[in-house]
Amino acid sequence: KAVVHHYISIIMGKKKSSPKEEPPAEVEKPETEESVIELHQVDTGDIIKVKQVLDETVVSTLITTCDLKENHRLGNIKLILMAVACAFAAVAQFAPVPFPENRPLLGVCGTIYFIISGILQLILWFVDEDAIMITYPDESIKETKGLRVRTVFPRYTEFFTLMLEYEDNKELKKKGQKPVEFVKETWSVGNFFDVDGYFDAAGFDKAVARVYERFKKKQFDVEDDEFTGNNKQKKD
Amino acid sequence: MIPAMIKDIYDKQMIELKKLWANKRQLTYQVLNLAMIVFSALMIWKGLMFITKSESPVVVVLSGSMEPAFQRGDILFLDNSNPHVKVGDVVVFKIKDRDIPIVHRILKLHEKPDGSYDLLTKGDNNRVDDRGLYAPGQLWLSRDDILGQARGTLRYVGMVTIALNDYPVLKYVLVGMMGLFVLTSKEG
Repeated sequence: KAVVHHYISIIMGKKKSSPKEEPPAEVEKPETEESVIELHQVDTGDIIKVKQVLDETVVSTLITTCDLKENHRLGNIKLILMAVACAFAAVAQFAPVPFPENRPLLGVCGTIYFIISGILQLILWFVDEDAIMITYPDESIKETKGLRVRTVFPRYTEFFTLMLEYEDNKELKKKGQKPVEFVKETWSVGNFFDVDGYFDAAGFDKAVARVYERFKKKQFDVEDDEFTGNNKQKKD
Repeated sequence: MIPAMIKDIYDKQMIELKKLWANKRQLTYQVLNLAMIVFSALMIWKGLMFITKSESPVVVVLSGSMEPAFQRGDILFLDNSNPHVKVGDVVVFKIKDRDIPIVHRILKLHEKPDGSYDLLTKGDNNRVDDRGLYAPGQLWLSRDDILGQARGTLRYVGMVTIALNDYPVLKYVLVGMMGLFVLTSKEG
């Protein structure tokens, strides 16, 4: 584990190199606010956890700091589909009909279960893709379209990319409408995690809010939106 | 060192569970996710039952009575879709009112005028036929007693099942741990 931490600290370069050092300077703020802020700690080698923490902070920033409301429509559809699939599977599993007689029931319920399961997987692959949240239109600036929030954190890099676009951007792109309106920003995760894995939630919150500000002001990025996450724009 | 690590993992899981409990939507999603994983496994089993027409399409060999062909701990794949079995077929059968299926070979077969069979079985590694195993007064098996013919085998893979059966507490430990990790991991 020590080897992994050391390796990650080399990659994450920007932060202090000594593993014995205290968490980053931002933590000193608690003394002025007279409260102790507990920093969340993550195993920096666990990339899934790191992305999860960053995604959750993006969502909570957009909801609390930027005052957006989450659109749960797709989430609800998925939950309902899951419940229906489980209902059919439960019937197939627990129906009090003994074996040879219940073969037709097994066949029908099992098939339906796998069909719904397949539909759910297709939704995850082709509708959700890399999106972590959809929002309602921002009423404070009289928007008509909600946001689609996408994040990418490729496997062996340190760069986390956040992309904000309109929820219908995918359809517009298919119709060939250019330029598509979006903002995106890439950071090295070393900007928000120190060597011991303490997460600077406040700093990341500010960074995400800045991205949304750009979106609100319609300062859209014009580069080709190949959302590969390899964008090496390093912002502090 | 190790107790500290376990306590660390336990604490982290507790934090995750508390976070989960606070967000009911996320909790519902994770519970349904877990249910779907469990049901997927169950439905695959039911699917096998459907295709093979057998009550128990995969069984584990518990004794050495079929050596050298099958050893204790082998997994057997059964197929019950063939109504006509022959002498020499390796079949798995259950004696009425007994729980444990037995895998042996068909020794003798009589076809009656109405099309039903009288079957006598014997384990390859046994000295005598199975009449001593049948129910008191029962001399023959019928086709209904057979769960299926053995069609394929995986050597020794069934040892895990035997361990889980001999020490039932392992089952709860295994399923409990898997459930906990699925609930608290969010890769979706």
